[in-house]
Amino acid sequence: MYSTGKRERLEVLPPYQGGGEMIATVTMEESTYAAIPHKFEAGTPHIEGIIGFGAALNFMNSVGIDAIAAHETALLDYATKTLSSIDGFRIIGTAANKASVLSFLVEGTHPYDLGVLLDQQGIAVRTGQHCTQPIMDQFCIAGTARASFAMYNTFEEIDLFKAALERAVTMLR
Amino acid sequence: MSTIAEKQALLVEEFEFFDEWMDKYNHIIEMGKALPAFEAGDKNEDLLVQGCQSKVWLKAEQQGTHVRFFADADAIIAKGIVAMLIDVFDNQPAVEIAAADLVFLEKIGLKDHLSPTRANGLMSMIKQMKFYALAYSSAN
Repeated sequence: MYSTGKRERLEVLPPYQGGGEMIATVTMEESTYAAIPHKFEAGTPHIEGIIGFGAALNFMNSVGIDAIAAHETALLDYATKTLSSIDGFRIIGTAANKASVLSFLVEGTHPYDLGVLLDQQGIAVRTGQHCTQPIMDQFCIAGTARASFAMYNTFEEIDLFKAALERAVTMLR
Repeated sequence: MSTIAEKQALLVEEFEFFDEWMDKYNHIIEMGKALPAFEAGDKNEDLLVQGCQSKVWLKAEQQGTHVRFFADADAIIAKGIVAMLIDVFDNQPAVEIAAADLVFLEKIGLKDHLSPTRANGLMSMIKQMKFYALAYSSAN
């Protein structure tokens, strides 16, 4: 799948890795390799990943991209509105039409601490710099906590998230 | 003056009061809040414990054969964890700190409960404290 290139070049290029399905003949004197692209695809292909990806795409198509986008937007709007009532709640990243992620800080708490206490209550968020150190520097912050909403999340879960966050903040302040 | 073993037994006993991890964390947070904060000038690169995800500053002072420890952190749970270590190690003989086996971490269940990143941070704190103790005990 990665072996794209000019046929005549690929044919003279030696394999970079050994494994099943990339060999033609093996003797004590020499080995010959399978034809391209198999020469470059040693070992078992990622079969379960391909099947899983196909199933996921079928599922998404059955629901519809527009319906998924509408649900995620509605979840994000609800979460933004609901959580903003928490004292000291600050959203980092407020671009219009952003993906359904909510990167946030709560005054008087550290995002790592929020992450641990949310985790204890069954809420998974990502904490830290999210591989974006320069933008964290621009905001003059060490990191954030970030919740992501997907097609399988519910409005009720956002209410639970808020209650869990309020409990965490009370413990930390 | 309690020994390192007695201090550990007391901590284990304290944590036995709590069944839920949220309550145990609450206790760790309270210990963190109770640990005096550093002056801004003391929060410098030299005192930073390497290997912690959050910023933890650790200071040690030799007092005769004993070692005093002081620490601060930007996240309160990390500060609570270092406060537990200080509770056990502060003002103990350097030789004994260097040789101590911190059984309380397993008895409380903290070691298994922390995420791998935080568990590594905890190990870094212990290593740094023992490093100071070892340096002071060989200086005596």
